[in-house]
This record gives sequence, C-alpha cells and structure tokens, in this order.
Amino acid sequence: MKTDKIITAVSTAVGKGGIAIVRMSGKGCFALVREVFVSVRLSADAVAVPNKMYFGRIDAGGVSDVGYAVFFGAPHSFTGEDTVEFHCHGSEAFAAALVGRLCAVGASPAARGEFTKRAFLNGKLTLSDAEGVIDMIRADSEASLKAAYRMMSGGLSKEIYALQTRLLAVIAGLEAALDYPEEFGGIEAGYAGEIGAVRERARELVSASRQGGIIKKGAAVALVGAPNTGKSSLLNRFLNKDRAIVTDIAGTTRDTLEESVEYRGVRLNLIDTAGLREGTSDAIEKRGIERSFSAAKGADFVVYVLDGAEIGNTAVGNAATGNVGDIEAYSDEVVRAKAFLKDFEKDAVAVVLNKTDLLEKEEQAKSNKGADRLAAKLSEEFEEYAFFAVSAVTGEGIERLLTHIAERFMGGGGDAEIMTNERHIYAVKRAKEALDSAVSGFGNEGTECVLVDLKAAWFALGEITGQTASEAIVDEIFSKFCLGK
Amino acid sequence: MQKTFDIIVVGGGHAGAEAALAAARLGRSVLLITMSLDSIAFLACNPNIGGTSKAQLVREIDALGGEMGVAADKAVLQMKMLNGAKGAAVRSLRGQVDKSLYHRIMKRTLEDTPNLVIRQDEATELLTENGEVKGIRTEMGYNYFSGAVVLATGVYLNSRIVIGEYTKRSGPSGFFAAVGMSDSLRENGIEIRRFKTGTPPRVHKRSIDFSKTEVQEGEKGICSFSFLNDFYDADPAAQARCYLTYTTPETREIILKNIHRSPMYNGAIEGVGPRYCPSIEDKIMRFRDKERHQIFIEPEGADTSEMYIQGASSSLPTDVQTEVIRSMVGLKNAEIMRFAYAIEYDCLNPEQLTPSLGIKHIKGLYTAGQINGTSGYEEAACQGLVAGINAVNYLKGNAPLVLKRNEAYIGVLIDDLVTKGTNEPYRMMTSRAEYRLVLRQDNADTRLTEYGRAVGLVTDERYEKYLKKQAEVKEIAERLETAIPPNAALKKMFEEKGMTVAVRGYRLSELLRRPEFGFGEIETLFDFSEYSRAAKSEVEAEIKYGGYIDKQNSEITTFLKADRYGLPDDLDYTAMSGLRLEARAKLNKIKPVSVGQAMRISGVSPADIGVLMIYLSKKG
Repeated sequence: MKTDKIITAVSTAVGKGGIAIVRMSGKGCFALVREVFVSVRLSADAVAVPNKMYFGRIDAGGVSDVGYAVFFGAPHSFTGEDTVEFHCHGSEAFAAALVGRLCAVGASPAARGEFTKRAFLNGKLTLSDAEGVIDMIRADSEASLKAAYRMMSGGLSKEIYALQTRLLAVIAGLEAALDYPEEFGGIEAGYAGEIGAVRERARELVSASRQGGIIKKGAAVALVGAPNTGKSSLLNRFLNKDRAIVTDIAGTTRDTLEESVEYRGVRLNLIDTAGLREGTSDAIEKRGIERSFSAAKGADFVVYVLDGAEIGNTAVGNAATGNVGDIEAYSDEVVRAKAFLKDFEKDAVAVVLNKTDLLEKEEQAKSNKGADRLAAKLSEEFEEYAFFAVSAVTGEGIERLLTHIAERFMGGGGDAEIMTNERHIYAVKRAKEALDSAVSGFGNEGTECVLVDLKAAWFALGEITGQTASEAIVDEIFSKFCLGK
Repeated sequence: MQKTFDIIVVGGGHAGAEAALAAARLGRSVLLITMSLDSIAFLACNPNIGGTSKAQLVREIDALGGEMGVAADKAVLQMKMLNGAKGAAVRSLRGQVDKSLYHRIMKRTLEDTPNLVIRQDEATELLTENGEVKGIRTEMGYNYFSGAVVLATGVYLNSRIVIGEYTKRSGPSGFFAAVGMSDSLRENGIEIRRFKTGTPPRVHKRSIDFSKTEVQEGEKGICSFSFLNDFYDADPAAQARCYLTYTTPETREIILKNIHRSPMYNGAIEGVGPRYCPSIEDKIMRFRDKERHQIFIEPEGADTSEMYIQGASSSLPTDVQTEVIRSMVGLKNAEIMRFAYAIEYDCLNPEQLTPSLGIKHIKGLYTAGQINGTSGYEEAACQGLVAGINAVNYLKGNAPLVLKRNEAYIGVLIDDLVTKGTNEPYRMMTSRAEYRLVLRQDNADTRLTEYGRAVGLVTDERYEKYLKKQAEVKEIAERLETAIPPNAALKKMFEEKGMTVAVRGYRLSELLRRPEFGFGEIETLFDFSEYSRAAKSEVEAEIKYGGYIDKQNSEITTFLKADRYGLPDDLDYTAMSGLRLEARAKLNKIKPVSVGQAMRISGVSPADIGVLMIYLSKKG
C-alpha cells in the first residue's frame, strides 16, 4: 500500500535571489534523487550521508545546472520525514523545471502549506517557529490566489472550467443511473462518446501547456531582419559568457537551432536566420525570406532587427535639413518589417533598432540628438510592438531586451505563478491519466469503477478551478434528472 | 410509577425504536415515550425498505446488532435486487414490506425487551440544568428523569399537513402533531428550522386496471436484509407484485391548468422540500419536455386493498389530485382512499451535533432521524442505533461510536450531516460515498460486526456466524489461487462466452477478475459447494474490484491520517487571526473533532488547515 506521497516545491522565496532551493519530502525521496542528480561523491556513497552537501549536476529535464543536494534523514528535518534539498542557482524557471522533473519521476507538487502541515503532523514545530510559518502560509496562499485570479482571466482556465463542467454532467448522468436504476438504468451507454471527447480535450490541454513546455525545453527566439543588420553580432552578445550559462543542446529536435542561453532563469533557444537571405539573385532572396518567415513562425518569440546605421545614415542625412523624423527616409525598411510581422502575435515580437553606437558617432559628429529622435520616431512607428534601441557592439540596451523576452516566459511578474502553474499542469495531467483509465474501463468495468476514474479527473481539475465540493455532483444529478418517488 | 431511568427516548419511529432497543439491550433502563403506541415503527410513506444505498444502511444496522433488517425480513412481501446485473458495490436490496406487519413485529420486539418501558404520552419540555440534560416533562404533567435523552421526533414537531387550500395541524396519517417541544428546544439554545416532505395518494386495488400496467415481479436467490437469515429464495410467482404505469399528456395539462392552486407554488408552504422526492406537480413543472413520468403501484400490505402510488406525491387540492391520478394509464377509475399531502415540520440544524449525534452544548442530549434533517426509514434507524449506543457510552464514560467514511454508509451520513449540514431533507445516495467500492452489502458484516460486538449488541449467535464466514472468506481466497490447467472444462468456459480458447493454465482468481466470468463459472472448474453464498459473494466482489480498491486505498490512508488527528472542542477559532473570516466562522460553528473533519467543511481551505495546525502546535 502506498504511504504518504512524496511532495516537492521551490522553497526559497519568490523573486530574485542568489540561490534557489527545491525541497522534496516524504518516505522514499532519497531514491528519487538519483533520477535527477549526478554526483561522483554520491555515487561513491551507497547510502546518502545525512547533512552532507553533495556537489553534482542537477538535471531538470532538458536543462541542467551544477548545484548541491543535501539529505536530511527522518526525523531530523523540517517535516520530520526524509527530506532532500537541491541548492541551485537563483533561477526561478530552473527551480520550477526541477520541480516538474521530480514530479515526472514520482513526486507530487506540494500543496500550499503542505510541508508545514507535515512538520506539524510529525511534531516538528515549536512555539517560536509558529508565528513565522503562519505568515508564510498566508502570504503564499495570497500569492496563489492572485496567480489563480490571473489564470481565471485566461483562456486556458476557462477551458479547464468548461472541461470540468462537461465532466460533471457525465458523472451526474452515470450516478443517476446507479442511484435510480428504475428510472435511469441503461442511460450509461450514451455517455461513451462524451467521455472520449472530454479525454481528448484534456489530452490537447496537456500538450498545449506551453508554459510548462517552455520551462522545460526553453523558448524558441528567432532573430530576423534584412542582411547585415547585425543579427549575428546580437546573437553573440546574447551569448556573452559572463552573463549567461551556455549549454550544449545536442539531441534537441530543432535542427535550425544554433545556440542556447539561459537568462534570468529562462532558457532561450536562439534561432539565427542570418544568411537565409544571402544571395544576389531575386529568386534566391525570395526563397530566403520564405524560409526565414517559416523559421520565425515556428518560434515562441521573434526579434526583428533593424539596421540603425543604415536607417540612421539616411535619416541623419535628412537631419541636416532638420527633417530627421521624415518617414520617407526609411520607409522601405519599415514597410518590409511591418509586412513581415503582420501575421505574428503582437506581444511575441520585439522590434530592435541595432547599431546605435554607429548612430551615436554620427550624431556626435553633428552634435545632434537625432539618434534619440530616430528611436522615438521608430518606436511610434512600431507602437504595437515592444521596441528597443540597442548596440550589439557596446551592449547598450541588451539587458533590457533580454529581460523583456525572459519575463514574457516567466509568467507575468515572475512570482508564485510558476509554481502554481506547475501544479496546474500536474493537475491536468493527472486528470488526463484518470480519463485514459476511464475510457479504457468504459464498457469493460462497471460504471461504479469508471466513476472512480471520472471523479479523480474531476477532482484533479477542481484543484485549478477551486470546484471540489462533492455536493456539486449531487446538485447536478438533481438539476438534470427528474427522479424520486 | 417509575420516574427515573438511565435513558429516555422520545419518539417510537424507526430512529426511536432502534435507540430504545439498543440502550435497553445494553442493560440500561429505558423509557420510550411515544404519542401513540399505534405509530411505533410506522411506515408513514412508501411500503418498502432498502433501495440503493439504503439497503447498505440496513445491512450495516444489522451488522451492528440493530433490528431493522431482522424485522424487514419477517415483513417482506416481495424482494428485488436493484442493479442486480451491475457490480456488487451498487447492488441494493429492496423489499416491499407489509406495513402493518412491520409495525406489529417491531412493537412486539420492543414490548418483549427487558429494561424497556413504553408509555404513551407527549414529551413537551426538555429538562436541563447547567448544560446537562436532566429528563423531560410530558403533556400529562409528569417529570421523567434520566442521565441521557434521545430525541427522535420524526416529522411530528409543530407539524402541519397541507392539501391544496386545506391545512391542518397534524402529524402524518392522522396522528397528532407534537406541540411544545420545539419551543423548549429553542429555549435551550437549539437552532430550529422548517422542512417539508410529502406522500402520494393510496388507491383501492379494485379500481385499478392492472391489465394496462407492466407487472414487476420479485426475485429469488438474493441475500436477505439480515446477515442472520439465509438467502431469500421465495418463488417470484409467490411474492407480491408491483406494477409500473405512466403519466399521460393529460396529466400534464391538468397540472399546468391547476398549478396556481398548489401550495408549493402559491407560497402557502415555506418549508424546504427534498429535491429527490419531488411532487408530481414539481416533476411536470421542472421537466416540461418529458413526455411521461413513471408511476409505480405497490401494495401497502398483504391484508389491505390500499395501493401506494409511488411517484405521485402532491399537495394539490383533492379535486385536482383525483383528476391527476385518473389521467394516468390504468387509473381511469381510481378510487382514492387517502389523499396525498405535504407535511411541514420542525427539525434542527445538524451542524449543532457532534459525530456521536450529541448536541454540542447540552451534555447527554442526543438526536436521531428526521429531527436531524434526514429523510427515510433507513437513515432514521441507523441514526437511532448510533444515538442509542452513544447515549449508553456517555453514561458509562466510554468513547463514542463514530464510524468513519471508509467504514460505513452510516459514517458517511453522519459525517455529512454534522460537517456540512443540509438544506433539504437528507437522503442517502451511493454517490455520496466516496469509498463506495468498499461499502457493500456483501461485506457489511465484515466491516462492522466487531464494532457491534465491542459495543455489546452482537449476540453470540451472530458472532459465531460471522467468524465462520470470515474463515470461509479466507479459505475461498486461498483456494482461488489454485492454478487450472488448460483442460476441457476451461475450454468450455471460454467457448461459452464466445472467447478464444484458453491455451494456457489460469489461476482461478485471475479468471474471476475478468468481467466475463462470475463465481458461477468458477464453480464449474473447482468445487466450492461447501461454502456459503454470502462468503463467495464477498470474495468475488473483492477480487473483481481489486485494482480499483487499491486505487482507493491510498486515498483512504491519507484520509485516515487526517481523521485520526483530534482537535480539542474548546478551541476558539475566532481568535486565530491567520484564518480567513469565513473559515473562522465555520470552524467555530462546527467545532470539528478532527483535522480530517475540519478539512471537509466547505469554506475551509487547505491554507486554513495549515494555519490551524500551527495554532495547535503553539497551544500544545
């Protein structure tokens, strides 16, 4: 018989920090460590030594990082159970990915306050701990409520709510047939199609849990633009070793992918489309644009690079005549960019004015603030998109650009939502697994057995929607069916 | 005249009868006060016992040493197994019983029980002192004293019946209403509310054209209500018959035309009625598109011509009722003997109860049955049994009997009532039991006999029978591990199900696990004739559900851990500032006995539970 499940969560406070700690607690969790952690010293110890820090590589599924694992043997841990802590670099996304990875190998995401609950159940909390822990639980639940609220306004949560509602109707129908066999016996068969359809939708939701996918696999970022706008130098600047951890990406499925960088906890897989438009003949260039377009289309984010020097030269030329903002001067490039970008989601695009350093030089020479004015004008021109003026050479504006991209994949403000989402994804996955079992059981096993799975799915989805009161099932039976003596 | 007793039971219905019997059998001196000796164990509504989830309750009452199952078996006119073709967990016995006989059997049992005094009078006042119950005062002016009181007042408190424009202060079926006690309960700080229920008309048998209806026969070869009795093997032809008929479009027209005369629709009735037992006018109004509604016609007894028209409860005026009944197939000439009526009554908010069915703020006061907001004979009887047992436990200073949700439907019922409350008369349903697969009729004895034995209600006869079955279950399970070679019998068994011929050997348990085979087929391969059907049914169910029971077991483990964590009853939740306001209010009202119960209260979140535990650790 299964005992208490192993739970895991990011245990350090949300936000930026030097290190992040992922905690895992529950009997059997020591064994799970070896699934995600490779350490020479740990391999040397047949049994992990408590309270010793093991250095090694932590594999969060696609992303890895060097860090430490510390083992605490029951009852000498916060929860009083066998506990493991992973100390990794302060990346929220990596910590979240690690939680996801641990869940894939057998743990479950901890519910709010669950570590504390266990600590309490095992008699580990003392008077002095108590106040602080209450604050922690309250703050956590408030943050989670906010996250849940954000989710609720999104399409995904509506989808989950709708799915749960459909599932409820199925459950109510099957329950009515069982509890009122004389009135409704025999209506069960009619639900086969709907159960299959609900399962299919759950399956789609799981595969569409993009956030989870991005945390694990990274976001694909395509750099596009005319030749010689500085895409390659931008790429190199992104890969600056003293800021980013560069990892090999052998074996990844994207063959167009060239380099990968982790920035503020988000792994960005950079696709450089430079060279795609190289060539002189019109025919080749056209094909190049098409290929560039399709590479960008498959990406999670597009960085459209404009050549500041090129535009600047033209513009600055006009500046002498006091005509800096004249759109005519660089309209070709703007028109081309707009045409290219019109099919992309607006907030999945950043328009970047590169080579501001060259522009600066020109401007200085003419002691003119034309560069700023040019940037302002272009930013108006591309007001639907995020706009950045950068220099790949000096690094100016690069941080802002990368921060913008990373934040898009950090789930809003980058607070508790990542953890919450991990729980959401986990919940939908469990719902889907229960529905798989319901589908295969339908017609073979009794309705009461199929209902075990359907209710498990319903409750799993309820962890997201908040609808978990079993009375809802009884209410639904009475509202849908005319029954009773 | 004896004035002092250990326990006083107020009301002699299904709850009161079980409570009085249990307490007296446990050696306590018991006074049963009832307004009429003729209403003891009176089946005021439908003439049947059991049904989905209710049969499980009866089997559980029986396993604990209660009386309902034994009495029902004696009064049965027809027996059926609902969901008979489905899995064991949802199969439910339903017996048509002779109402008069059932009443007489139960009355006789009560009369024959030592330590039990039965008196016809009306309890009008609850006597309490310093938060402890002292006894009752009756309408005839007597004060009776006791250490514990069980209130099982049914639908009698301030009851009023309504038939269209006609209304009368009355209990069910012409019995008197009980006045006074509601006010006394209010004075003792008990929150009273008003519920409503109803019953359909009774029609003379000779006025029904049965040729236009479908005959519903009984079955044989199914278990009895009581574990003490063998399987029920009466020939269906010799059993009483029920009949199925339907409403017609005309029924609909009549109701739509007269709906303004329904007290439920014109506001004359305020009580909250049960959704699962809608009146015929409710059904028509709420489900207008439904072409026809089922109506079952059932005998009220063997020596009466009254027939119960199930599905036609109503509070419409008598002239409309007559038209409605006569519009149904086969009832054109129906002679109504008793009209349908709605009845409103006082009951209490069960959130005031502990899981032992004691009122939280009055020591020694227990309540059971419809006063707790439930509906149904079986629901009442099981509460009566638990309340009776716990009144005795209270007097002896023993821990109360509290069955858990994974142990019994009784546990589910009481936990739902005291943890979540109810806004309508509460009826048991199998869908309310999350661990339904383990709460079956076939294993009620396995689940509960030891509890009943520990309490002292399980007789030696029952206990020996139980031990014998347990031994059988064990042996059968062992023998089912026998491997059968691919012989002719095995081949035949597969072929008869149109399945590919077995080419390998099988363990019997492996075969039994398959949906195609039942114990009957297994017996063609191996001799199990020495074992009882009861033992075989239980083993079969356990094997068939094996995988699903395993799934539920991990949930049950978690559930039990939280349920085992006790909470003191003097916690002041309002002072716990870390809890959300809603959670504080709810916890303070319910005063959960365990963390598990606290978790089940609606409006208490997992974060609240976390906070609560920290407060507890500070206290400790």
